[in-house]
Amino acid sequence: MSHAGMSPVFADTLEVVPGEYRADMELSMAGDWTILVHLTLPDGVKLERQFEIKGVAPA
Amino acid sequence: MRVPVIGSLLKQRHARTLLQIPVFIISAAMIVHGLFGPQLAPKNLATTFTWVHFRGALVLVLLFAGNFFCLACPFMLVRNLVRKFVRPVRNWPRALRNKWLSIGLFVAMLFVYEWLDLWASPWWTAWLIVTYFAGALVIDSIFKHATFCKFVCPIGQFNFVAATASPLEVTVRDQDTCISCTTKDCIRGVREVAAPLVVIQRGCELALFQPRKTGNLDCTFCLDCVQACPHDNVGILNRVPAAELTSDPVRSGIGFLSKRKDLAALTIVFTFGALLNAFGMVSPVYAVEQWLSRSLGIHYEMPLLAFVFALFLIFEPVVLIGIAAWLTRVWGDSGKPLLSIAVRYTYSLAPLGFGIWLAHFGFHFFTGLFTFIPVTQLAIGFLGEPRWGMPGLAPNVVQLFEFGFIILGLLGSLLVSYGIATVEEVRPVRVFIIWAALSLVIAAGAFWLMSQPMEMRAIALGSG
Repeated sequence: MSHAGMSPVFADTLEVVPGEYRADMELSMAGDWTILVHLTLPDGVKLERQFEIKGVAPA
Repeated sequence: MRVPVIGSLLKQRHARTLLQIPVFIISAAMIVHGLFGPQLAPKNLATTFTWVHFRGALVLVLLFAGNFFCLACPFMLVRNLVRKFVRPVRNWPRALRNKWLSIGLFVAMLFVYEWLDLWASPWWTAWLIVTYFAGALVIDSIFKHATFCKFVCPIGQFNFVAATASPLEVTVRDQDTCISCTTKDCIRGVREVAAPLVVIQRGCELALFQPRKTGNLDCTFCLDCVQACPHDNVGILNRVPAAELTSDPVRSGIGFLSKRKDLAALTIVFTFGALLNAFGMVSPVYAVEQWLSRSLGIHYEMPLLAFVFALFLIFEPVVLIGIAAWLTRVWGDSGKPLLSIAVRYTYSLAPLGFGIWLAHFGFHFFTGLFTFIPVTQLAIGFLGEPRWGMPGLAPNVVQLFEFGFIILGLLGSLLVSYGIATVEEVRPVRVFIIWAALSLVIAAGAFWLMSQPMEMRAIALGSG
């Protein structure tokens, strides 16, 4: 669940072990977040995947 | 109307149509994108334009100018087109010639917004716009005059109440000219000389006879009266914002404000609905809903939400306004009935309600100001890679605007309540203190709400 127009949070990922990526991000407000992951495969193909993190508690 | 370029544009017979066409095109794009585009709210035109830009621009234009969004209403463009082929013959039922139906629809809209999480749903937002178009079309195809605008449209009612605090008004320049006028084209319309039943330029469809019109209530700024007046005696003139609420003359198409319980109820929904709508976006709302769920043993959102709505829109105003009206009688020595006092002074809350709406909608507008750029890039597809990195102004800066809007609204309400008290009471200072205290309580609530952390309204973007 998300409100249009709210500030997005950006983060780049690091490959911690081959094939496994990690990103740290500071979610700026409580609630349900939608995470969009933009991927570029070795052959240059670009993909986008989406998943949700629900119920982020207030800081 | 005498402002260069803008004035001459607005005087054109098809000025309204010219303004409506671009808004209609944008609305159509929003519907298409809402129904068939990405169903993530921040990436969709329907949700971004409706809940960030339209609402914010609407209240800012009302604050700095007047009801120009009703002027550019796209629903009326389609309705006018259809009326070229379908001529309505019925009159709106007498029992419904008031604001009660539109108040119900206004509350329903606020309720559906929370219940269906409209801010997060492009699909539902698109259907809301479609419903508006269909509603305007059906109502005004069956019933004569501007029935939809005057008696049905919830956005219109919102605009009417907010526009009482606007600095511009459609009004006559010189009353003497109206006195000597014999044709009354501003209300009757301009007729064909050879065939008096043929109207070649409409008069006011909302039954506002210019010489006796006071203020912006029920005025859609359609400019029909401006174009119909044969003496060029009607224009968009500046005035003191909210001053129209302090006096109570008989108003054309409205009557006495003090006798319009429906308009007072609309002002209540407008003011307390502003608090309610803001409450729905902050963290405490979830704590309250969970507490209510435990206390009442109800685990469905709809009845819980209905309870919160009843609390904000019925219980809270009845208690607060009831106490203020009772004190006005007892301590303020007012001889009027309790209900009459409540109705008359309720209008003093309109500027404060407007300030709270401004604070809320302004927050989304300014913090998401530039989000129309990437969303449009995404929707159109050939304007390059969407630039998501610059949503708008910083929230801590915008919070200052929010507090400024609430203070502005509070000042307006204080001035209006003082103005009413000095005209109507034998102890105006005492009565002013009572209603000023009520405005301060509501403003304190608004300050508290705007200071709370937001919840459930965000999106994260990542890359890898």
